[in-house]
Amino acid sequence: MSRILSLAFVMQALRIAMPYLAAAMGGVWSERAGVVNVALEGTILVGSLGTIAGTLASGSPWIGLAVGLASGISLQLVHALAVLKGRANAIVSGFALNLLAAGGTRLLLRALYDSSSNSPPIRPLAAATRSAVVATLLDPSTWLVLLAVVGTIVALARTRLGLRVRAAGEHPEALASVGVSVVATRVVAVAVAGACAALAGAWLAFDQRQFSSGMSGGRGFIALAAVVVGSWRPGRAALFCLAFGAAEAAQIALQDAAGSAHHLIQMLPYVATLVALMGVVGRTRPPAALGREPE
Amino acid sequence: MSGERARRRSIEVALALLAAVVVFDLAVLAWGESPRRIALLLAQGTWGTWYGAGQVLFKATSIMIAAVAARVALRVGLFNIGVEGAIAVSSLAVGAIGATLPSTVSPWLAWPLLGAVGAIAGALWTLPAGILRVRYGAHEVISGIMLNRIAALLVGFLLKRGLAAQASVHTRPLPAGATLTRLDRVLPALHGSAANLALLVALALVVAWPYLARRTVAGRTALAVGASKSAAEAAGVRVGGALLASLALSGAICGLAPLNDVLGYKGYAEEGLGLAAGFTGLAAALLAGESTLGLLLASLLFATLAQGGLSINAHVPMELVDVLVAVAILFVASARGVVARLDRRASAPPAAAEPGGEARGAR
Repeated sequence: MSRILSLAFVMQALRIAMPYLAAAMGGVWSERAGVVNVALEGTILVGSLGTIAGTLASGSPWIGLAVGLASGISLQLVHALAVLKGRANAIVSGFALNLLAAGGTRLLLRALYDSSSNSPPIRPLAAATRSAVVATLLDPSTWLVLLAVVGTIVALARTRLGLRVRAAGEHPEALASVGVSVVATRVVAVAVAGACAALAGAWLAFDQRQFSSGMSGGRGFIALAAVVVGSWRPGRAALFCLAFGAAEAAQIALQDAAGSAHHLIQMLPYVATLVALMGVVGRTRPPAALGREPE
Repeated sequence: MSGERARRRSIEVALALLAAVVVFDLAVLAWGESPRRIALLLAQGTWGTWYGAGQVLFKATSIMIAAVAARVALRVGLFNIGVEGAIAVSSLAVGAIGATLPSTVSPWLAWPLLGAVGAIAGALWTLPAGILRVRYGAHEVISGIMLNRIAALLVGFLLKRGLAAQASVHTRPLPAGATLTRLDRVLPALHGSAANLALLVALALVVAWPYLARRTVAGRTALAVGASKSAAEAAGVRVGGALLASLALSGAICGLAPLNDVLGYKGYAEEGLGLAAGFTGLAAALLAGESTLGLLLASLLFATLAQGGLSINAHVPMELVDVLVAVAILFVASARGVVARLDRRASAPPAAAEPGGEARGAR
């Protein structure tokens, strides 16, 4: 039990939750604006490779981060273009982009580094320290993720852009009636979603210090689960990300006792989503105009 | 579908596929290879040899089964994204139960029995998404995604916890009588390819579905529900029941995919077997719309690309084919909006087409 209640455990839970937090904020931005987004998974992947490639090419992790975010934003802008201009089904577009990201990153891995599995390593963003706790706290990418969470909560609730985004997802006709473009609002929200999900990828890249094929490992879908369980509210979604992180950290801490429980712990976010959809723990309500074109 | 709409849709699809090929060729050029050479290699590695053709047919079998499953749900307006999970769970059920059959089992008992096991497993796995939709109004795509993830983890868990044969990652092999006959027994030229009798099951499904959908009461009811739930309700249709039945049938059809992968190919079940057909099947169903011929062609196209990737791998990375497939799906999905936009631009004078972006955006 003491292994659960230690500072090291809390930090471990927080570390695991970091990419979930950033990607879930991306999901909130896009879906609150009314654009269904299942492409978070692919966006994380693209963000990771962009960050690594940018860092290796320039020698600067900050330039790497910028490249990573730009890659994620670009992928999500394709989604926005397909859904809002091409009137593609958002689910189909999302899964196609996940496929594109999975194949495309492996292709670039071969083109850039002549390997089908991983990139060369990069130097870490934070100064090396002995303690994992201090390293996590000093890591600028950790602070960027926390900034994304706080920024999303505040921006959606208190800024003009946040109000427009929420209106685009709840009642786009009302937004249009006051002369604001629904499409433009949604495009901005999807671009922010791309930046957030790519930040999740950048965090992973700095954490693992290299890109490996398929390294997003389903985190985009866990983030999506957190968005749904959190009823599309950023604060609640963030809490569920932390809870999922804690559950996984507990599984790692208790591994010797639990054996192959690994699979079962990993199921937790998804089972929680199904339960939440039944309305057992409060009502989950998607944005009224999610996936709907304004009339 | 009316003739005009079908014609319009085929033009859209053709343009989208052409655009995807252009993207592919540009990527091949960027890699320093000749697009013509790569296209030739791709054709030779698939339809150029009997073995390649057999492999394409083997891959098309699973895609066709998944595509019909997706289409059954689309008929009532549901998006069964859970095809992948249903295939994963039913494959394990078929593999695990098939391995317990006695070694002397007759194919005429084993084949229908394992087909039924798969269909029941697939239907049961898909039902929760239907119940969540009908009873709680939860979107089937979200529950489908979650069920897919749960299925993948559950299969891994159960294999690790005793369903896998000792010191392996797959179930014990099926007895010889339970495996499906390979087509090379009839057509020796196909030697070495995994094409098997499940192809006939897939073709039967593709051909039978339009008949069931158009000529039976259940099929017409499903169409009415898909067109308008409230209108169907007013006409006395039990909409919830129709949605549930369609999703269960869709899941049951997914459960036939293991006939191809488990009975016809591997002879056992393992993690990830046959899953790629899940999303590809949905893509094929969407690409084809209501057309049966379209469904056959789309399935063959995706199967050809999947097999063709292997034959070009020595010259350009086979991942290029994944990119081509993704871009093709994206373009086909976007084609309707883009073509409509071009149409409007061509028919309306430019001045009238641009009365301020705001109003257009709010359309």
